[in-house]
Amino acid sequence: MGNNKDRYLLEAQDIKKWFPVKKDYFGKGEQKYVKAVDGVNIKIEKGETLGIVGESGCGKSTLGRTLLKLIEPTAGKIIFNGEDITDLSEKDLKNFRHNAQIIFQDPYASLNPRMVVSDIIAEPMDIQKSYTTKKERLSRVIELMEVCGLNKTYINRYPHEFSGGQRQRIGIARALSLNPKFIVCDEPVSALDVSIQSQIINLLMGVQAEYDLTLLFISHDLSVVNHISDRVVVMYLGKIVELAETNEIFEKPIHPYTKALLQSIPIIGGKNLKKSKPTLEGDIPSPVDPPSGCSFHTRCPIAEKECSYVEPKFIDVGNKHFVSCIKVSNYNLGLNK
Amino acid sequence: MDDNTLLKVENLRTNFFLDEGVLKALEDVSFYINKGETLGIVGESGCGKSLTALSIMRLVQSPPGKIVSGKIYFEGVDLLQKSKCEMRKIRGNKIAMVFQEPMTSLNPVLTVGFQINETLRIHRGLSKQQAKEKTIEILKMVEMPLPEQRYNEYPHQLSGGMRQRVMIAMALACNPSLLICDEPTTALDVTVQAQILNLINDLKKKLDMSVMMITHDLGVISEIADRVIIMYAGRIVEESDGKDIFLKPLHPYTEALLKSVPKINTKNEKLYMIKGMVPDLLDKHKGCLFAPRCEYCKDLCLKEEPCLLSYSNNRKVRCYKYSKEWEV
Amino acid sequence: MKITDILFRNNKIYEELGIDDKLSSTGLYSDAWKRLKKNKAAMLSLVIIIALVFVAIFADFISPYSPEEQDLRNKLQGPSSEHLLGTDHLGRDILSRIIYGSRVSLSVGIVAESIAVVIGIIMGTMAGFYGGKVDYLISILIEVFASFPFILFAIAVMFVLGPGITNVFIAIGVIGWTTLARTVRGQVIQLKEKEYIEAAKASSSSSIRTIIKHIIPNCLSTIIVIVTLHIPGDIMTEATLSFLGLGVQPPMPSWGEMINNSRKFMRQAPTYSLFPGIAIMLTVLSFNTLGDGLRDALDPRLKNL
Repeated sequence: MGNNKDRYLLEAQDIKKWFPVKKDYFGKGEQKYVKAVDGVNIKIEKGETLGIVGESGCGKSTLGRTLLKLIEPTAGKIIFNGEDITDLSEKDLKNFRHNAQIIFQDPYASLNPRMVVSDIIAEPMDIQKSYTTKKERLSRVIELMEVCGLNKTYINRYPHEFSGGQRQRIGIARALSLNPKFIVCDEPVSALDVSIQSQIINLLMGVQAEYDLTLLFISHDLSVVNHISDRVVVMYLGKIVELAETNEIFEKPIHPYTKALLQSIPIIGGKNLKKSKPTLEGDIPSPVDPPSGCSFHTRCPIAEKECSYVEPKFIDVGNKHFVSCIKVSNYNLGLNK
Repeated sequence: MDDNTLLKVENLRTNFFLDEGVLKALEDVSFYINKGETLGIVGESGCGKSLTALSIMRLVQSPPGKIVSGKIYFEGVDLLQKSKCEMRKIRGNKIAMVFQEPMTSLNPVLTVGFQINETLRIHRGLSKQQAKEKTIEILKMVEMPLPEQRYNEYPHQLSGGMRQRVMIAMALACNPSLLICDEPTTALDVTVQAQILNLINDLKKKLDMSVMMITHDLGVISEIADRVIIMYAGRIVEESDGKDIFLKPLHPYTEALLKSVPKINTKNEKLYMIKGMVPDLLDKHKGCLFAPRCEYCKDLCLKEEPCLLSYSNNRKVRCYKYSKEWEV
Repeated sequence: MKITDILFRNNKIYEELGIDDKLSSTGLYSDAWKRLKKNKAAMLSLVIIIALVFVAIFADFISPYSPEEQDLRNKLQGPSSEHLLGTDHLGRDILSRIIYGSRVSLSVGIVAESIAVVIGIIMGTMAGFYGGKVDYLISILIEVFASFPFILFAIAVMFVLGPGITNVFIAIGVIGWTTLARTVRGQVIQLKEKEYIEAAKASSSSSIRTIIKHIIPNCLSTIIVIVTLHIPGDIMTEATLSFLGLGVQPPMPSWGEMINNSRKFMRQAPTYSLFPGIAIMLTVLSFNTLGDGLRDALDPRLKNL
């Protein structure tokens, strides 16, 4: 027990988030659910960057928000720093929120257009009343602006006067203001230009090293995830299909979905699409009616009859590498590569 | 002009006349597309790549925008000389465009079939029944599953990938000679993106079209473009072969872009950052627009803007580094 | 920056910390003001409204006669050198009565709308923010109040509270909040999804704090426009009520009441009803034009630049 608390900052046990689908007017038929997150188990180690990749509908954003209790989980437990926070009320969560923050994707919607930068950055401190004098507040804001590469003479400007990259820096400064231990980064660079992305990625990595942060990095961009993460989780339709250290997962992917994902990335100076490339057929199924058995079997190039009615278990294939695939559990690791 | 050239843009200049001043959004844009080839246009937001496409289609919102000068030769004829009526016959018919956001580009209250029909009935004068048959044929061509069923469905009933196929179907309905794709896969998942890019490539060969692919994704360009032009601040800064540009980028901006993209072997090192910011096109500029951010900047770069110079047979670059004056 | 911040700014702290901050020249309102200035019709309307307020405040000094001074020998006169706009059926100077009548019209606009705004914002934000059962109940309330026949309600209020101008305020305010509530509710539902609201929640912001600090300031533009466009309606409503004898009671002058009285004397003094009618029309037109101008100037499309 003591070992876990020291090692893992956040533990999610069988987290589920099901959104009820609105019934038609007469309320006929059984209640359907969008199974956004359908049984996720992860342990995030202190000081690590855990990347989560997946395509739309895989539930990665929902998972990030659920872990922060911005969305109430339908089932499962969340343990933060040894404390079970699943059933805590908003009032009791104050301490947790002090330590767990979030950075959003959209630099335009994540800042209140009617507030000046200093108020935006200081807001978490205002809410949690974590300073005593105005001077303290102001000097903390300036410190954060400098850390995030923002010019302090713009301290009383409005968000619309900044570029996308600068707004994202404001968002990061805001997330850092309470000195949190854990930050969920929900696609923080996806909405930015390529040349700006590198600046923000560098900033995040610098800040993580400086403040010894634990990051949950959600993205659909595999190259960015590869660059910044220590370990990577691959999600599909609300479930985790593969988990491993970054190098391992990119060099030796096991799950057919992970392989397909990696193959689909257009590479600079890489393979030529003009030669017919095996791409994944079909579209992602709806999370309201996920396929039975293994949810990937409808598109899986190596699916067998069994896959449509047996749900795969998440197994350890050695080298801290976990996969959720029946064919892996049926064969020896060596034969299945 | 070559018989093989489908589109030739010469010194295109598009301005926006705003309260704050004149924004010179496109300046001295010249390039060509041959028959049957894919030209990639790469750049970041605000560089003018979408505006170039809109200018060719003469869809620039006027006011405040205006194509101030230049020539756009399509199949030998200058499009800028054509009347509005004549342009309407060309749009959707000979030149077609696929946009980035399939949800906002499709009319949510009309069925998919109706929207594809429209182009056929307007440009080809087909009857309702004939248009329906051709539409289903086209849906099959874009690999839409269950085309007869989809014909009667509405955009919101389809996934992002399927909607983009509908957009492509609409664009290809009249067998255009030039297909302009403005960030067609940016809003799509990676696996769907691969399908759509393959589809565009296959259809290009089948229908004997040329494709103008606008994107900020260097990987996409690398995979499917025959030739590439790089745009920065409303100007073309480099023009090259699809392969050479990545093996040996000429313009410092291209070089910087390639360096700042995370790749497999840059793990956990600091990524390259281009210092400075994109220039405000409202301000008056002296010298090369990339100079303030350029590693190689010399005095002469700040005096006058460089011209697009020929580097080799099929490569052009707008940079003094490759001019005679550089070594002086 | 907000005016309060500029006024009460503690410059010392900025000096101590060595910041030379450049105050923003483009806040939402300063941009909107620049845009509004270009709209000539709206600016003209603004001038007229300001003039009207001026007239209402300084009526005592501007008005040539007392509005209640009767001169039965000179009743129902047309415009003359002594009485610029003529006299009414009791010999009172019409111009003076119009001047004092502006007080009634403007105060109806301000007070009634204030009541409506307070109720409307509270209801709209509660319904939009909390959703669920709260939204359900408030929406029913909105529908009930909105469908209620207004005149009936006004009569009921008069019956209970007696006639008089305060009751006009109450009647108009208590019925008039529904449009505002509906619109605010719609806006709040949209705003709720914005990420900066989630960010506030991520720092443990209470619902009330989120509503006051984040939601309402972002609804203000809409509220301003709606209020400006409602004022003319309120003025007309007061005119109608006074016309029906349910509003302002004599001898207090009100434009609607003047029109009411002038009905009987149309043939003898055709100009009697003309001038109060023009006054109403001019006021209503000005508010409508200003409201349209404000809506264009505060256009949210441009907020996201």
